[in-house]
Amino acid sequence: MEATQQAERKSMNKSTASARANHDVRASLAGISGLIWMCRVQASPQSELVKYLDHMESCKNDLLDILNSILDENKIEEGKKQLKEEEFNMEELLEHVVNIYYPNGAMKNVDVLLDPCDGSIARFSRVKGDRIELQRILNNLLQNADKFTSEGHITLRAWARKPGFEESSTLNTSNSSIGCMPCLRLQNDESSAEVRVLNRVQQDPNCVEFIFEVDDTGKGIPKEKQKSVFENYVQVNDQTTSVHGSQAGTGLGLGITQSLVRLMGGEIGIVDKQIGEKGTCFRFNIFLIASDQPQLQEHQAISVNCAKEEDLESQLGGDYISNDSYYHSVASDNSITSHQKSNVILFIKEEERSRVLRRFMMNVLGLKVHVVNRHEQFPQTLKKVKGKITNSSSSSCKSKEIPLSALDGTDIDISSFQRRGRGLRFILIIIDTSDGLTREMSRAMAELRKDFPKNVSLRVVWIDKPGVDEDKLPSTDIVITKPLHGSRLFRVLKFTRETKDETTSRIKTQQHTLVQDVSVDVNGHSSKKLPLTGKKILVVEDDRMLLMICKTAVSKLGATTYTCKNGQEALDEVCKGLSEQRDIGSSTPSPPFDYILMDCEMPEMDGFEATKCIRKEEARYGIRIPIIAFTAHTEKEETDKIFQAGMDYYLPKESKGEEILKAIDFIEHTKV
Amino acid sequence: MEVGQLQRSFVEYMASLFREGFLDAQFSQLQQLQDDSNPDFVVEVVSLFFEDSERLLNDLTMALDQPNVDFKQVDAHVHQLKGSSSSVGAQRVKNCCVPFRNCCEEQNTETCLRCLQQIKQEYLLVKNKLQTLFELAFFLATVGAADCSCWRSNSHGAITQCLTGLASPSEGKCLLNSVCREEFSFSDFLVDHIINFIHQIGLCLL
Repeated sequence: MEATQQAERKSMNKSTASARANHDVRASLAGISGLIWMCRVQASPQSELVKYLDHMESCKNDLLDILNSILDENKIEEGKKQLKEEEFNMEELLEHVVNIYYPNGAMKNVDVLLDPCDGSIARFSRVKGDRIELQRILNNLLQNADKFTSEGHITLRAWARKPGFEESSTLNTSNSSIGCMPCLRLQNDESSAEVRVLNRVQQDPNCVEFIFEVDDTGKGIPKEKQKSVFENYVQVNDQTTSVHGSQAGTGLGLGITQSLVRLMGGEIGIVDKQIGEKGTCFRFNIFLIASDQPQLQEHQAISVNCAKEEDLESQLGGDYISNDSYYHSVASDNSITSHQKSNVILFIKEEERSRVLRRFMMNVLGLKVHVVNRHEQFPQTLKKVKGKITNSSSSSCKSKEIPLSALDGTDIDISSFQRRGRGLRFILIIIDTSDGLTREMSRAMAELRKDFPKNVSLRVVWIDKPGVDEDKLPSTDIVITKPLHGSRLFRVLKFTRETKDETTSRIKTQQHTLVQDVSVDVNGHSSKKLPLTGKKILVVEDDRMLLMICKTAVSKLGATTYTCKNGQEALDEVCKGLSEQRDIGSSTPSPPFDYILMDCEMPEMDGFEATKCIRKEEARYGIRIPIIAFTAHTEKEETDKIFQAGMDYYLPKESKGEEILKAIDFIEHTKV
Repeated sequence: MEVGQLQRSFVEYMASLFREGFLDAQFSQLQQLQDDSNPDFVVEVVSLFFEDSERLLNDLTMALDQPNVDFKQVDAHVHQLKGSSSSVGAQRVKNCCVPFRNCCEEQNTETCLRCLQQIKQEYLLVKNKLQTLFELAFFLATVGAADCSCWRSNSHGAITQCLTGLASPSEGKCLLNSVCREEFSFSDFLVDHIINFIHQIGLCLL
């Protein structure tokens, strides 16, 4: 009795003592924080002192983190931890967490990717639960993976499903797309708080089970140590890389993680890998309340056999389980059969990512995927695919015509059209150019674009850098940055569902969201858009001073400015720009410049002559660039000459910002 | 020496230039095009103006010195001078160009020569005014920066030494040179102006 009471007292004392210690430690840390701040104010900005202060600040933050994790562990152990319930977006959370570790991984050549698995997360992405704690779990696992992996990849997989009622306390881990995994049992735990949560969430009809895996190719955990990693204060190999203070860790992470997972009704464990595979795979499941997305349909098994005509996909044989569930999907009247005409050529540097994408696109979306592993294979793959679609498109053209009225947006039902298996074809090429683009590849691309069949859509997605000068790319091309997963991946895949006219009309807006779009004005600040942001303007003027003034004025309005000293140079620039368009093989060439500001009197070739020549050259491409004349004469005969030469407007030579803008405005408004 | 006082004299000086018609609205527009990413814009444009104008004035002198004056050529030069002075906002120079062109039309060498004389005078006046304006501006930039906390003590000392004439002109120039370049990355152009100005005007500001 005495002993029990004493034990209880000791335990209580320990709690109070630790609470007090917590308070005291925090107070001291706060003191340090304030003192650092005061030192900073007095230090001169570029000095060594500031660097030391920064370091001190980060050490202080580390201490705070350690303190917080100790306290949290106590709270959880004592069953006092309360999970919050707030709505959040699961897809965003997963992408956010992966992207935190992506740059770190990239630095040591470890690819960190998000595997969409069967696409089920998209269907249940609106969830209610404790976002912060779930993020903490994922953070912990990813951080460990990052710490112990120096090559290969780290994959976060996630999928969701409605739990069967009989599964309330066991974890059934069979999943067709991943393969058989050993069962994990929920351990009996006396903590009453957990049992309560378990029942409540799982009894909710909207309960959804989420399963996560963090798989890495790192050092791995030896079988005999696997059980103990979840015990608090135990670390495996804590002598390894300890570059920053924060990497040292307290060995608390997995313990807390396990407690949190259990609090959310699930269980965590280490999954056995195949023989010869190295690294560790943690898997856990939790239960959250999720709302079923209304626009998306249930799993549909679509049999390919209904499409009778020549079908590239049928060459593969078998059925696909196509799942309509990727988020932000376009109006669902574009039915699944439209995918069956879509081919994707995938050239991605990272092996695992390439495998994951291919699996997803083929198994889940039903696309035909051609994977290019080495850049030598690229040209022949392009040729092969083009050959196939040219052949099949020519034959299908004969048998079935797509009435033009179906493409102009009138109320012909495109979806019914497509359901008959006559979907518009699509080729999506995803190219990773981070290692550069060889000449053979560029040539192969140009070859592909030439004489491309009209009823097939082509879209090229460049990863990291465009193959050629970005301005010279056809406007349907998209440039995106790595990593290609999550929302970026889905935006790219959305293209496979567009109809051809949607592709062309959507160009400007897509480029706006996907391209690294930062409008930088003359001050070098990324700011609100200036009137001429994104416009390319050519200034032609022989006088240095006037050229400088005009160039600055135009650049200050936000435009990209090019200059020439006389008419001949201007003509050469325009001709070069136009013919480069032709080389790329785009069907709708865009003008090399949006406007030309042309001085009338120049040596070698004056403005009038240059304009006449430019107009002649343009006519061959069906383009007309607006040309504004700069003149020192405003008499009628001069102005007549201006319009006769083919110019669109004139301005006095001294014109600076305002007047130039007015001229451009005028031209824009009178354009029909 | 008070920075506030300096700033006021700068503003007053600039206002007088507009008031007396040396500069017009086009010059203000040039000033508006200048910003942090383009801090030497006005100075660079005006320098080009000086170069071009001096060349043109030389050409005009030579052209009118010929036994058979080519008035078409003279007119072309004047036309160009009119254009550049107008763009830069050198109003009085521009205004001289119109009667000059009339004289060319009349093909009267004597009146042309008189016009040339007038234009040269106006040009030199505006050149002098603009140079003073720039030097005042540069000096403000340097001295004004003395109030900033990022100013290191040795640089402040250097400027003061030059101002009080404690350092010899060449020492002063060296000091200022290194200070201006390292501290503020001033271009050679600006450094020369600052040094000139300090030695011309420095003492009377103290």
